[in-house]
Amino acid sequence: MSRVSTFAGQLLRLALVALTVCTVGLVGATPAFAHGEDKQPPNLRTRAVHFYDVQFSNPDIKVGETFTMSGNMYLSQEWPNGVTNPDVTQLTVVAPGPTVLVKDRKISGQFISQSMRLEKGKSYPFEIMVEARRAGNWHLHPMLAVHGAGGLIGPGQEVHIAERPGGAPFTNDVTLATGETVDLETYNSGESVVWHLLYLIPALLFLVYWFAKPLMPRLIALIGGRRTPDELVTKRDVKVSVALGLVVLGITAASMVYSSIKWPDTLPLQVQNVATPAGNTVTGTVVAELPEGRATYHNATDTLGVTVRFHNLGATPVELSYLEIGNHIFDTDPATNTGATLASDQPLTLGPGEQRDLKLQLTSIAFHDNAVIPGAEVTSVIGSLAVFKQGNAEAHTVSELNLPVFKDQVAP
Amino acid sequence: MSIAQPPTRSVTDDDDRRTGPSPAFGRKWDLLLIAVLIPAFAAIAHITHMLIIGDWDFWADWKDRQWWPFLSPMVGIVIPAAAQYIVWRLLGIPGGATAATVMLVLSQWASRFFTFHAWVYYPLAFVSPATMIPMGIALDLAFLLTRSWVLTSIVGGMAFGVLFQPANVAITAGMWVPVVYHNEIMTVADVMGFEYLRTQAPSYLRIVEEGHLRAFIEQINIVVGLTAGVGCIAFYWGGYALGRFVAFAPAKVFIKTKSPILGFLHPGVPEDRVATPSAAGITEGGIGPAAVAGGGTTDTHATPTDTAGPRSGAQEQDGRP
Repeated sequence: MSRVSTFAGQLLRLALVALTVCTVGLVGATPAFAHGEDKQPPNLRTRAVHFYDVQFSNPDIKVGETFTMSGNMYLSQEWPNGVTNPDVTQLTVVAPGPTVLVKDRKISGQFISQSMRLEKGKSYPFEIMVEARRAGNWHLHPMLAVHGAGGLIGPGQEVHIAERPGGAPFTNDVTLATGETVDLETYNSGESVVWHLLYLIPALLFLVYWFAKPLMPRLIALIGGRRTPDELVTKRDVKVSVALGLVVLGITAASMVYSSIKWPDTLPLQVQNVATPAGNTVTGTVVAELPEGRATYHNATDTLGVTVRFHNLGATPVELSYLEIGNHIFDTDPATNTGATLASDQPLTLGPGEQRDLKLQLTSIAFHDNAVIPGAEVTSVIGSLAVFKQGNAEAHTVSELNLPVFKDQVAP
Repeated sequence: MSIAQPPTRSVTDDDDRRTGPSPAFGRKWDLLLIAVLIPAFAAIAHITHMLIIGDWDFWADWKDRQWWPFLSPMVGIVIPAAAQYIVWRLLGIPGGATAATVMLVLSQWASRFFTFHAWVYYPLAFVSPATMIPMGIALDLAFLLTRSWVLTSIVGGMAFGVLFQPANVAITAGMWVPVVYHNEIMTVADVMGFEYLRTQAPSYLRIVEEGHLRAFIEQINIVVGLTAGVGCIAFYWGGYALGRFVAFAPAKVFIKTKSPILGFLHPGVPEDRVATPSAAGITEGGIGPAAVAGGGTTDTHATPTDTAGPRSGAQEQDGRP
């Protein structure tokens, strides 16, 4: 007995230690501020969709106010084999739950309620209007979900949402086709709870009636083979059960009548056709190629060196504005510099018809920290988008660059 | 191991209700048994439902006319059928299906309220579960009135499938009210699906009715209900098998018994060892002294005048069809 007690005591102590460790671990846990995108293979995530010129209109707002995520998505012509073709996609927002609401979503100016088909080699301007729902600091991204593949995440930003003055509760009003305006935060909750309770009460009475009987004597009598289940059911049991069953079936009938009166006109769930928004052709003005056929990455300096031959086929001058790789922007402007720099041995401007080889050096700790450079992968290629300013700042032309990455111990 | 025999006591079933626990088995043992059954039914029913029905039950914009009322009852009948078999065989109570459906709804509400609503802040109506309580009671009543597994599977199974939509229409119909949203016609559920973010659940993942060129489109609710009913008849036997072979069969490893209830576990037990009502010491409608005390061969000269049900007798004691 004492040995059993000792063993039980040891188990109890072990359980307490485990509980303490888990509890302390939870207390020390910090919130996650990323969505796991860095764990997607760089050769897939950098070569499928390029988000560029992405902006958040107002990252400091109050509950109930709206802001806009806007920008462009360029779907790579060299779409990787490992990602399903973008025949059924959806542009959505990555957020920690419904902290914000999507109120509008436009692709190339067209409202897209559900899914869409996109073309490779085209660029799609997008705009997502978002309404702040819960106060807090939330890290948000646009994301293109591709059916059969998963999510391709765009650049993110932290949005600060403050409470409303006075702490007024959030409401989400929508006008029904009947003209009635309802708050979706609470709409239909009452009906749902009440009808569940109406079913639950007679069912619980049914269970209480039966399970209030002495159970162990029944169990022993049945297992011992001295009684059969049939013999333990009385006529009264049958009458009570049938009566409660009829009550439940009566509630079911009443619920049908109630719903037909309250909601005489309903629709089945609506399924929209897969939309096909118009894409813009933004490539072709500047052609880019790699005369050396590769880029070289130097791990110690987090620098990627590559020589690119740009050929401006357009009639106007262009200027290389920045290079985008895996949502990281490499540019020469210190004002917009976010730790990713672009250096060139020559000016970044190309005249009409001009061709020039630019020796570029891209430096960022993100190459390492955000796993942009391929490790041991089946395809040691990363995708990049060269974005050019064309005449005025609003018009862009882009060139797609796929960079086979060779790791070298010598700095480029 | 043999089952320990309790001391003799002389009570009827009605006496049990009036006088409460026997000296040998206080009510605390009943409560302990209930305390085991409640989480067991809740967990098994809930996990099964989450794994197989999942999104159809989680989200209002998955509750369509075709797949939701077709798959939910078919999957949903398995655990109640198993519970019905187990509770009937062990306790002689035709309430297992009701218990399973009630526990399912309660555990679903706990999940939806505390995680989906209170933790992640989805509106309650958007994540409200479906109910299967009327169907569970119908299944138990079918068995109570027929005492036949076959008839229960046919009548109760069909009722289980057919009743799903009527039972849930008042809970869900408000979500199917039309809305004109950005010049598109949607339902309230569609609008909520658009606005309330589920990042890893884009709308193309929905498996919902998409329309087809078949006939009976206007009667799709009836067609789906009847089809689900037929499916429930078949799936009922999955639950029956689960109860009989998964819940009972392992018991033979631990329990050595000559019981007619568990006799099928030990096919070597001769038929003449099966207790008969008179030999089992039945008094009026309840457990007589011989029944409880192990007097399987004692003739008390009692007649089961108050026992209900269409059949009694040793050859049909286990509810076999």
